[in-house]
Amino acid sequence: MWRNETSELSTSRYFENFTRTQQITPQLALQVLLQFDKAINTALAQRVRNRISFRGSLNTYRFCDNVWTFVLNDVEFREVMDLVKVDKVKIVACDGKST
Amino acid sequence: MEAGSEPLPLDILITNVVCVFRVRCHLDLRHIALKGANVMYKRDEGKVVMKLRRPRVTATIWSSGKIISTGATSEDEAKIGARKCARCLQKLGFQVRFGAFRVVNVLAVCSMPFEIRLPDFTKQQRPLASYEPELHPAVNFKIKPLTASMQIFSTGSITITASNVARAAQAVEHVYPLVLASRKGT
Repeated sequence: MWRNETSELSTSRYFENFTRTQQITPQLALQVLLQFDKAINTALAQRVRNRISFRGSLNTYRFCDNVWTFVLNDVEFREVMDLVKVDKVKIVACDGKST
Repeated sequence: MEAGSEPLPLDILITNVVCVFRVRCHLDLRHIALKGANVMYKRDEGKVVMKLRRPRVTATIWSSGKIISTGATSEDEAKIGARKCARCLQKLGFQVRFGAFRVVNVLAVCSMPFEIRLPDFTKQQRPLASYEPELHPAVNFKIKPLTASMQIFSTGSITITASNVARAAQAVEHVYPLVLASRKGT
């Protein structure tokens, strides 16, 4: 799932490129991406500490295979002093590990 | 005893209309769960719950094509909600044919302008009314020919469950004189 997220899209593309030009083998690219998955999971769980609250109006919701997908409209993301306003937000949420 | 000679100035509020209908085709619940909007997939129970906003109804969809729709406030609204749900399924690509629409249950609420003495009422309506104050503070009154049942509270509010709206109204008209006889204040 992480690989479709925009910041990681570039990383996946990067490695695909490497494989295509045969600078690294596809297995190696796969291994790197798997390691990235593990690293990002631990990093988000342990190193990220800030808290953002958001409020908007719900357009649609979906719950399948324990995954919630929401589409919100006119959302305000609020961190302590920052405010970001967005017209449309798609949220895909899975069950987190409760520590 | 008024035999329904004059129309009763009572407001009967329909709180819930439950209906069933079929879409006459098998449905792929997984496809509905992944592509549909405002759906929740209950895989262990094998059903998809789709909530519509206007009219406010909740439809429970099975893979056989049978759908139960609840939450409407009138029979017409129930039918519109059912058709809307079928339309959503049609838009998802299924060969839907709307059929076998039937209102199954209607829940209504009615408030009498007086309070009622429940033990008194139960004594007079012995076999039909059952009152167990330790279990539930209302009298359960069943009207067999109308297949309606009601819960009568001492404050005067009555909750009616019947198979359609007309029968719910008839049930209220039937019980009004009986309840009037055991009201507080006479």
